[in-house]
Order: sequence, then C-alpha cells, then structure tokens
Amino acid sequence: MQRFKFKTIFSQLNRKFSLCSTLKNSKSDENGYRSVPHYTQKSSLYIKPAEESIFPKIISPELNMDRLFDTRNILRSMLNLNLTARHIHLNLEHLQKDYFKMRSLEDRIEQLKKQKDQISEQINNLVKSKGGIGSKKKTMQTDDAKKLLRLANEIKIKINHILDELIPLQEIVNIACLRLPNTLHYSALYLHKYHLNRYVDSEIFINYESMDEQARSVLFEFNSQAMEKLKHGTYLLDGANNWQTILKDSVTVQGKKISAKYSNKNLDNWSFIEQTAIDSVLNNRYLCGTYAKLEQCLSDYFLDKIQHLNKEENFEYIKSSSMFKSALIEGCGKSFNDYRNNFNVVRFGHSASSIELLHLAGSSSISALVLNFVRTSIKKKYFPWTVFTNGRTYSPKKGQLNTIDFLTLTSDNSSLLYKYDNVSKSAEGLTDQFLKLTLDSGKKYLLDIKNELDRFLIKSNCDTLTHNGKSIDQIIVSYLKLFIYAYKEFGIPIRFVCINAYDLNTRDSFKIKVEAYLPSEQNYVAIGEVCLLNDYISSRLQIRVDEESSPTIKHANMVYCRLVDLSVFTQILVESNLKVGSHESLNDELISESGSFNTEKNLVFELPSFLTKYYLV
Amino acid sequence: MFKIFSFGTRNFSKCALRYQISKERVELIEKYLKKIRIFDEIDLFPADIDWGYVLNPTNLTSIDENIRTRKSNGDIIGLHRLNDDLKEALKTGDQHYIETIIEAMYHKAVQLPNISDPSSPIGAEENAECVMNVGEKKGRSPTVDQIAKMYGWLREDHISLYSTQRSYILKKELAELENALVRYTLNYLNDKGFILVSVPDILHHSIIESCGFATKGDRNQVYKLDFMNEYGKYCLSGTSEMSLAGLLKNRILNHDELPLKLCAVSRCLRAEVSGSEREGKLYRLHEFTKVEMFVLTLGDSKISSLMLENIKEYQTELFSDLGIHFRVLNMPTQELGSPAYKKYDIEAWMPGNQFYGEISSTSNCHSYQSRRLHIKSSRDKTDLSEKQSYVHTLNGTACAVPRMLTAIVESNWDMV
Repeated sequence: MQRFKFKTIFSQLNRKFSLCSTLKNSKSDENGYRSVPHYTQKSSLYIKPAEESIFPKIISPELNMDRLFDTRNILRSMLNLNLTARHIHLNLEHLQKDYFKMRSLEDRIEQLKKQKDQISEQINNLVKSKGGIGSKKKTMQTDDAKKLLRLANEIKIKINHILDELIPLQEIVNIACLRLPNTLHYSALYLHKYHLNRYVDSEIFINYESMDEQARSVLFEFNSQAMEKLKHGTYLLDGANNWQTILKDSVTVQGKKISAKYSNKNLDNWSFIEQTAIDSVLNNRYLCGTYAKLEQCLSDYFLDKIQHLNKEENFEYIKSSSMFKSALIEGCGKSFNDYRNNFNVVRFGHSASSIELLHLAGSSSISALVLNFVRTSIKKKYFPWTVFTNGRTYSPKKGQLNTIDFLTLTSDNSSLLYKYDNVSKSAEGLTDQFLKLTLDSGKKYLLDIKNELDRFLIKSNCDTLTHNGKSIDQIIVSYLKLFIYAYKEFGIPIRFVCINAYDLNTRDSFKIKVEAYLPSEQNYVAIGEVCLLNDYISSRLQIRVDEESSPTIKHANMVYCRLVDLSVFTQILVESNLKVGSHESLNDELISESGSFNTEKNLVFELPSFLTKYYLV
Repeated sequence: MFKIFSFGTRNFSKCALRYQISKERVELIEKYLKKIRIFDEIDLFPADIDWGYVLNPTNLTSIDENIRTRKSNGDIIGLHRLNDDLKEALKTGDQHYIETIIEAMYHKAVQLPNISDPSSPIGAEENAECVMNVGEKKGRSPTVDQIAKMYGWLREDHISLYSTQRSYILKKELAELENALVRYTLNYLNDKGFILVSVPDILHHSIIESCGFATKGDRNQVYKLDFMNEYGKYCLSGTSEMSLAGLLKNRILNHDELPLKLCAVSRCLRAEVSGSEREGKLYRLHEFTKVEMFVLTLGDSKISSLMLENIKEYQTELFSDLGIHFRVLNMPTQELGSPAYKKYDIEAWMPGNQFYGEISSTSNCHSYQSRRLHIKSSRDKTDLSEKQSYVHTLNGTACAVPRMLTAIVESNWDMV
C-alpha cells in the first residue's frame, strides 16, 4: 500500500515536472506570441518509449531496416548509390554500425528476457512443488528461491543498463531511417548515369538541343504539330499581353461572341486576374469572371472524362480533408516543423498540452488521399485500389492550386526496385556487372513505356486505362496513357519528362512530369505528374496488405498521379486559343493614333467546341 | 496606457452628457487616425467610423440599447469616457498621450456592433420570426450517417486522429453529390448574373477583422497560420465572404455598376466548437465546401433591404427544387453578430434526427464592412469632385454542402 502511494505521488510529480518543462517551451516571445513546443521535436512518427511527448503515439512506423543495412559493403550498396544520385551526404557506415549495435542490444535484451521468463517459470515450479500458492511465502524464504530471485534481479538490472544505451540509439537510428529517401527506381538510376555521362540516348529521349546542359529528358510528346501554329501566334502575346491581361467578359464559341450575364456592367477597370501579394499569402490570387468560369469548366470536363472510363470496383471518387496532423505529414515525406515550406496552423489553448499543430496541405494533396488508408490492413483481393479527388492544394512555394489527383494502391512490388538487392549484399557490393544489368533494366522500362504510348496514341483503347490485373509498372504506363486520353483533344503540345534523381522528392522513387506549352513564356510548364511512391508512405503510416499466408508484414505500394493543375492549364488554354477579332467589331479605341490596326487589344478567346457543354454561358 | 484607465471609477453619468461632439474634434480624431497604422504592411486605412454619430451624447442611449439588445461586446460608455479624457489631454497638448487615447478610442469604436433593422425581433434565438415555410415535414428516416455507412459513402472513424476533429471523407455517390450541388448552384447563380470568383483561402488578418470577425480572443473561430515566423499574420478564411470583401477593398464603383453580384466556391475552415451528438456527423465541421453570394448595392437602406429580399428569394428558389422542407426565419437581434443589420436564416428539416438545422443565412451588413474596407460608389469614379458614399454589402449562403447533403439525403430517402 505504501509502495502504491509512493508510486502515485511519484507519477504525479513526474507529470507536473514534465508539464512544467513543456510549459517552459511554450513561453511568450516579445510580440506576445508563444512558441510552438512541437517544433523542438525531432519526429512526430517515432516516439521514444516511456517518455511523455507532445505528439500522441498514433502510428508506429514499420520500416524494413534489414533491407537497407543488411549488406556487407554498404559503400557499394544500392542505398549508397541512391544517396549519391540524390546528392544526399550521409555517413552510412556510421549509421550501419549504429544499426548493428542497436540490433545486437535488442537481441541481448530478448535473450535476457527469455532467461528471466525461465527463472519465473522455475520459481513457479518451485512454489508448486513445495505446496502451492498457500505456502508461497514460506517457499520464497528457501535458499533455492532466494538464489533464483537474485538471478532475476540481476537480469533486470542488466536489462535496464542495456535499455539506457539502447533507447537513445533506437531514437538515432529510427529517426535517421525515417529521413532516408525512397528506394531509387532503376530507370531513375539510368537517368542519373545518363546525365552524369552527358550521353545522348536518342533511342529513348527527344532532346531539342542535345548539348544543352539544361536539356530535360523528354521521353514522349504529343500534339507537337500544334507547336508551329502556337509559335507563330506568340507575336500576339508580346509585351503586356498574356493570360493575365487579355481575357474579357465574353468568349467566342464557334465564331459567335457570347457575353457574360453581367456584361452590361461598365466594369472598365475590372481585372480578371487579381494578384494579391500582401492581402493574401504569397502566390495566392483571385481569378474573376471568365477566368474562374474557365477553371470550373475544365474541372468539370476532366471529371467527366474520368467518369466515362470503365469503372472498376475499387475506383473511388473521394472528398477529403485539408488539414492534417504532423505524423501524417511526416509519413508523406515532409518535415512537419519547417514553417517556411509548410502552412502550419497553430491553435493555442489554455495550457501547453492543449496547443494544437495542424498542417494545411489541401484536400487534393497526397496527404488527403493517403488519409483514407492510414493504419489499415487491406485484403489482397481489393487491390489495385484507386482513389481520386479534385480540390485545392496549398504550399508556400506554389501557393493555392486547383488540381485533380489520383492514388493507386497495389500489393505488387515494382520489378525495378529490389531485383539485384541480394547480389549487392555480398562483400563485393554492387559490381559493375550488376550495375550494368540494373541500368539496362531501367533503360528497357523507359523504352517499353515509349512504345506503349506510341501505340496508344495511334489507337486509343480506353480499356487499357484500367488498373485491374496490372502490375505496378503497368499502372504507371496506364496513368501516362490517361494524359493522352484527357489532353489529346486540346491540340496543345504536351510532353512527358523523366525527372532526374536529384530533383526527386524524398518520397519519390521514380517520377515523370507532364508539361504543356505556354505560348507567352515560349516554354513548357508542368501541369501534372506520375510518381512511383512504392511502400515509402505505407511503411511509415502502417498501410498493410492483409495476407494471412505471409509470415512477414507487407505494405501496400503506391502510384500517385496529378492529372491536371487547373490553375496552370487554364492559362495555357487561354493563350493557346486566342484569335484576332474581326475588323467589324473594332471600335475607335482599337485604332491607334497612327490609324493602324491594334491587334493586341482585339484578341478574343475562342472556347474549344468540346468544352461548350461544361462552360457556364 | 496607465493614464487611460486611471479614471475607471469616475461616474460617467455626471460628466459625459454635458458635451456635444464638435466638428473640430471629429476632424482631429480622423487626422490622428490617418497617421496611426492600424494594419501593418497592408494598404488599408483605419475604418471610417462615423465619429459624429458615435460620440454624440444624444445617441448614447440608443447605441447602448442596441448593444444590449444584441448582447454585443461593444462599450459605448467606455468610448465616451475616453472622449472626455481626450478633451482633457487636448488642454495639456501632450501629443503622445493624445495619440494613445485616440487609438484606444478607435479600438473601442470598431467593436461597436452595426445598428439593427427595426423589423428584426428583439432578443434571443427563440424569438426568431418565421416568415416562410416551404414543403412538408417528413417523417423519421435513417440519419445521413447511417445511410452513408450502409453504402460506404462516408469515412469518419479514426480520421480525426490524423486530421482535425470531426473530419470526414466523402466517398463515391456522396462525393459526386457534392460536385453536383456545387454545379447546380453555380448554374443558377450564373443565370442570375453573379460573377464567379476563385478566391484565396489564406488571408491577411486585417481583411478578416474588417469583415467583423474576431481573429483574437478566446471565442474566435479563426485558424491562424504560423508562417515565416509570423504567427497570426495570415489566417484561414472561414467563408468566402471574407475573401470577396477583401477583393473589393479600396475600390470605388460607379453607381451604374451596382448592384455588383459576386459568388465563390471555397473550402471554409473554422475552428468551431463541437456540437451535440444529435446534430450528426455532417453538421458542425471544421472544414466544408460552400458556395457564397456577396452583393454590393448603393448605400441606401431601401435598396439594400430590397436586395436582401432578392437574395432570400434566390435561396428559397435554389432549395425548393431539392425536395427538402425548410423555413425562413427573421433572426432576432442577439443572433445578428456584429456586422449584420438584418439577417434571415434558413433552417431545413432533418428527418433523421428530427430537428431544424441551419442550412443557409443571408445578411445585410449595411455600410459596416464597406466603412472598414473603404468600398465606395460615386456617379463617376473618374471625377474626384463627385460625392462618394459607402456602399452596402450583403452576403448569403447559396449552398453549404455537408448540411445540404444531410437534408437532401434524409428528406429524399425512401426505404423500398
């Protein structure tokens, strides 16, 4: 009873002490704002055992560390090659040493626990043999029992000693592993070598100026025949004329001018694009009238296109949340305490423990799509499972975007990730011979994609856009085909660009960016992407494949696709469909003082006919 | 600052009423306020308070009565006390002290609520006057939560662990219904001549405050960003009314450009407190999609009141076709909030939980917001000699998606 009382007081003191230390973290600064204690934490996913943390333990990451470190020559391993290609500097040998030490300490604890269990069993047997529970007190006074108790106590002390060393080590290794990038896809590795050697592989890539250092690895392009026409029309967009200035409150549909319902207003200084650098946060803006209607029209068009695809059982349209807890953000490969690159939302409560930290990523972000699956175990028969959504994404760098995004989960592993892992684990490490095999596989995959896309461009068979029964490598191709299916009608030049390893995000294994031609910039701008995420997110957020027969934990593999960035594509649509208005419609204002015809002011936007039914006339 | 509050125990009734506010005093206050930067970094002058009205002792009783009937935080007596202190300070000529008092007066004055329409019932929510009933009350149906669970249309279990409280994921048909509702509403509003605006969801706090929403204090419902080490500078928009009003700040419109009707679809993010279990899972949320109407009219009470009736008609027309039963309430003074002069709420019958739930509201804010955001109109905006007057602003919910989903699904549910 006394012991219980002491324990209660101790735990109360402990709680009060830790609360004090947290409160200390949240003291006010000179402006009266309190600092956020969460920012001082190293991870929101890995919570140190037996310690009060500002983050609740809601997820336990399940990283396959053996796959990373179980190699005899870490400097010639795939992991090191991955880090080099991504320009990440890390002392891998040191980390591997820590990992092995951690594993040996864990094994030692395991052994000691077994020994302790054996001793407990021996004590139980002793008690049983000496008359059972009734005479337990007497039995425990015997020499045999005392010896066993002493042994058990020694083991306990040993375990505690090891734990003192193990817990900080676990923290170091686990957090370091959580920050490691995703496994590099062989094609991304091939791209890395391709760029390194400045070797122009004209068999795969279309490069306009091969010697240009900035040349991008263009894998495929379509609608490129429209380029000449658009380049020819760029004279219309000189000077101050661009998508921000040319739109009026009317559009032309098949040569007929259709005015907006409000166009009787004399809104002469009404801007259709209102940049707000100060009123709203960086890169956010207002889009008014025709422009906003066009964005809405495009959203409806793309969603309609998707609805027309063959609907599979696990092909779901969802509407998710915009704000997320730190664990989810960290699980998706972003740093939760980086308030320069995240929109962090903080609610200060009355006490430090009630401070709430959320992250505004948007209802169409990867986090929003992943939210549907966190800590779930999905039966194999439900794969591949695709969710898609339309909504907003927010980031300080890009501002507020309207996008349509997809996420596909599958139980299948990519054949271009771990194929040569076992051979690279030998003392020799990844030999030149196997490296060549790796690069060849990566190159072959890129060639296969190219050929498949060529075939689809000639004969668009929508049945090939479905995911059922396909490997994860084929699902990537399906997504690329989806771009051809959705954009072909626009007649705007589109290209698929392979992203080099050093441009990949931590969570990406392989990425193809989709770019469209923006006439006013005379360059391509990104409108979407297809990205292999593999099991990077699912291993951090416990998204498992429910396989009864499998003894090991298996995580779902993911492919992410952003079909359209509506904010950017609307600009492209506007600039690509400009026409010089007819002379009859010109009024005196448009004839300059010299009497010449001022085309810049008489540009009209012609809505492509296939969009008419989606436009709010 | 200490000096300002040092007269706290003085008996106001003995001194304040003796003075009439002079034109010179009003000019002095306005002159000083122009120097004070209330909102840093943003091109927004302090609100144009009608000092002649608020400091006139003959208006004290009516303003105080208005504050009490609205149960507002405004402190007109405190403001008049500060005015007395200003008079004393002017005698001493201590510039710093004068500026401090004027700034304190400003902060008190902006907290005063709008005047109330005489036709608004006085008192609390239960005094709301029902002005219209549409459709018939339906019998009990399963709740939207039950229906959605049955068809896998809604995921909310454990989601709050990784997102905000009461967060949810709409799936399949329910997600498609959200899209359909937005499209239906936008089509209707386009026909009525509304200009669609795509608005930012992250705004400078001054825009939100100028619309009459508090960003500080315990009861505020605004999420604040900790962005670039500047906590609270930017906030999340709780309704696109804030963004639309912000778009028009410092604008002068020609009389013939009015009424200017704007609409926007946006994600509303509110740090709202949880409601009762009875309300269900799609009722009081931290985040939802909403289509909002925002209208500017000439600064004439008759014109803006007529526009309020028009917006109410748009709303009833929009909701009538959706097979739901609803009632329109003329909201009493305590339910108006600070900015509204008059407000109608529309409550739909939720057959699942058998209660009337608010699905929409529309308010006439008179010149409350335009005085704060400096939105004016004149006969010819290019002619600066023309008289400029503050416009009246009105707002109305065209479609608050989750509550509409609840009302539609439950009202149109047929157990065959």
